[in-house]
Amino acid sequence: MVEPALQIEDLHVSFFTLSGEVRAISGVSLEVHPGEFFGLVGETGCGKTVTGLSVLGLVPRPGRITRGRILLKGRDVLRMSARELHRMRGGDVAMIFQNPTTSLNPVFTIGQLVRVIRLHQRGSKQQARARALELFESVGLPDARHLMDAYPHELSGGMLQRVMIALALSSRPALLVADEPTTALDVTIQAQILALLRDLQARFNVTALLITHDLGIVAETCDRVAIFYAGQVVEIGSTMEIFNNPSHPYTNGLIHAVPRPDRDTGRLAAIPGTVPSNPGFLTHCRFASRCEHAFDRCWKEQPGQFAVGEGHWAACFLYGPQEARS
Amino acid sequence: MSEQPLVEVRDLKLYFEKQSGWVHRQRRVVRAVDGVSLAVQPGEVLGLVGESGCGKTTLGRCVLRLVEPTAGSVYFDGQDLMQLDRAAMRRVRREMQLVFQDPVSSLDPRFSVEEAVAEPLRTHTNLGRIERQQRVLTLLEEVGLGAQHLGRYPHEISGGQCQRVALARALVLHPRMLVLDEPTSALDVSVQAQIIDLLLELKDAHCLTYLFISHNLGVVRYVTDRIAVMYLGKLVEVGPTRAVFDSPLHPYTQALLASVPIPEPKAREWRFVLEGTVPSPANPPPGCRFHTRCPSAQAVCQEQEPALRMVAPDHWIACHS
Repeated sequence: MVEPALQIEDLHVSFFTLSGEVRAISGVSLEVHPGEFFGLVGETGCGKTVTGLSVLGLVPRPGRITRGRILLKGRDVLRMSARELHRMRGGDVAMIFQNPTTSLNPVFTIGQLVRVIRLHQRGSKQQARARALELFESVGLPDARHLMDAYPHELSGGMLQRVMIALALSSRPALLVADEPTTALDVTIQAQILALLRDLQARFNVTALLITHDLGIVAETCDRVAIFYAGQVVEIGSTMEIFNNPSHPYTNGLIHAVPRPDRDTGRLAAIPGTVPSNPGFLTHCRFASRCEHAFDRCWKEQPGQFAVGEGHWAACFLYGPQEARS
Repeated sequence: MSEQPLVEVRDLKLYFEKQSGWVHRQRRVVRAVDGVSLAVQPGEVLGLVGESGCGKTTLGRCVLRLVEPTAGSVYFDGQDLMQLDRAAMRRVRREMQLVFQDPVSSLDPRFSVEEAVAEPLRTHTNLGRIERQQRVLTLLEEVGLGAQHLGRYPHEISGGQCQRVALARALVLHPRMLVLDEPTSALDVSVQAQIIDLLLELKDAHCLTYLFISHNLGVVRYVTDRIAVMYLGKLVEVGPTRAVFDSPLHPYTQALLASVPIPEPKAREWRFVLEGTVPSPANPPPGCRFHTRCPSAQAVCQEQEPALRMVAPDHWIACHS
């Protein structure tokens, strides 16, 4: 069995605000295998971004990881020294963000920015530049030489995201964390970037944690998916399984709440109600208040993980043993 | 169609002048909307789609005359809005309202829900306090809120609830038309579905006409009766929603529809990815504006600008091929 590129075990993150503790994620566990695109899907505030940031040790204050383990190629990120973390970020793990126009320093030219390559790789400035040119070619930035003298504001959003991807891949990271990488882009540009990511996966065996709220992006790019709701993973499975056999009532609701562009949608099935505020302290199923199947037990305790198929489980009593369903 | 359109836009143009350069001042003209003609029939939902910077929001604002068009005219119920003075325009504004994308920032944070919804009544009618209160409450109930929300402030309620308040506020004067500018884009999908259903219910209950501006093609397909596709300030395709989605005729519409990710694995075997980016509206290419990215561009496309022509019943495209 190949060692997973990333293993998250029972991760808990809380934000200690003036008005008390807010539990952003509670008990997230997942594994990402080498060469796989793993999707983290959910709505605003469900904890998908915090999970991504935890992997890089970047949870912002007043947030803190309160429990759990994050193993990156077998090494525990939470036990790393500041120096080791510094070396890991941009080295073994790289991240790209939602808005490429704000994530590149506007006072440096692209040529100056690519010098960060030397932080993680030995070599002269010339070698770094040559490597950057080669990377720019591979992410579909043809006129790369010209680009070196341009400032970020002179490039379009799509081009900047390509630059970000090239920089992120410069150290051949074991894991690429992409947080809503196409949300700020127009659909035709989004299609270009998604095609690029898939192409890079095929050519360089890139492993990625793809954070998104768009089920369409998941369906077209991810191999496996974790569905987040209110700080927990409610369902994990292969993309095929999740879409063909959505099991958790939330996943099912999410899939049927999106009107399809490619065919007529019957009636939209909206999920009633809203996410409970600060759900981290609930002792019962966090989705119970919006769930049409909720029964007594759902209001008494939290469901564990129940298998529904090959490598596919859901955190819902509907899939528990018979005696659990009462 | 024989009916008189509720809103008609004729050859509308809106140019922004932009100064650039610091030492050497340069004036550039950005053609946000460049010669658009469009009619919205009473009771229909017309979708206006396109990518950022194509002019769809600006066109929506011109319809309400929130920005003064550079040229062209806008008719509302047969009246030429460009000819109206301030007082007359004010009366017409009661009949058409705008709902914005970001519900939290489009409400005044210092106004309670009740004050926000009652404000149009205070400025446009001389209803008494009790009557205003009753009217506000009826509308809040219609959008799925209740008396318990009257005293709340925007920061105390969720984004979906804020959008419900914005809708109540837009409807309080009994308008005939709403311009909805990306009304669900800031919302999560589960809440988006609730607001979409509400919009459709309200349309039937109040006999409304919608100009629905959005870049979310799934939502547009679900909500609209007809759509108009814009690219760089021009209309490229106008037609019944079903027809345009099932058989898009303009190469840009085809590319746009092919770019939307579909929430079903392997739903699409091939994928047509459009190359390049949208040229700057300050310096649009000559001829057909799409020819720089069009896979089927010919010589004529670089010289002549195609006009909209009807190719199927009520289905128009601006393309030479």
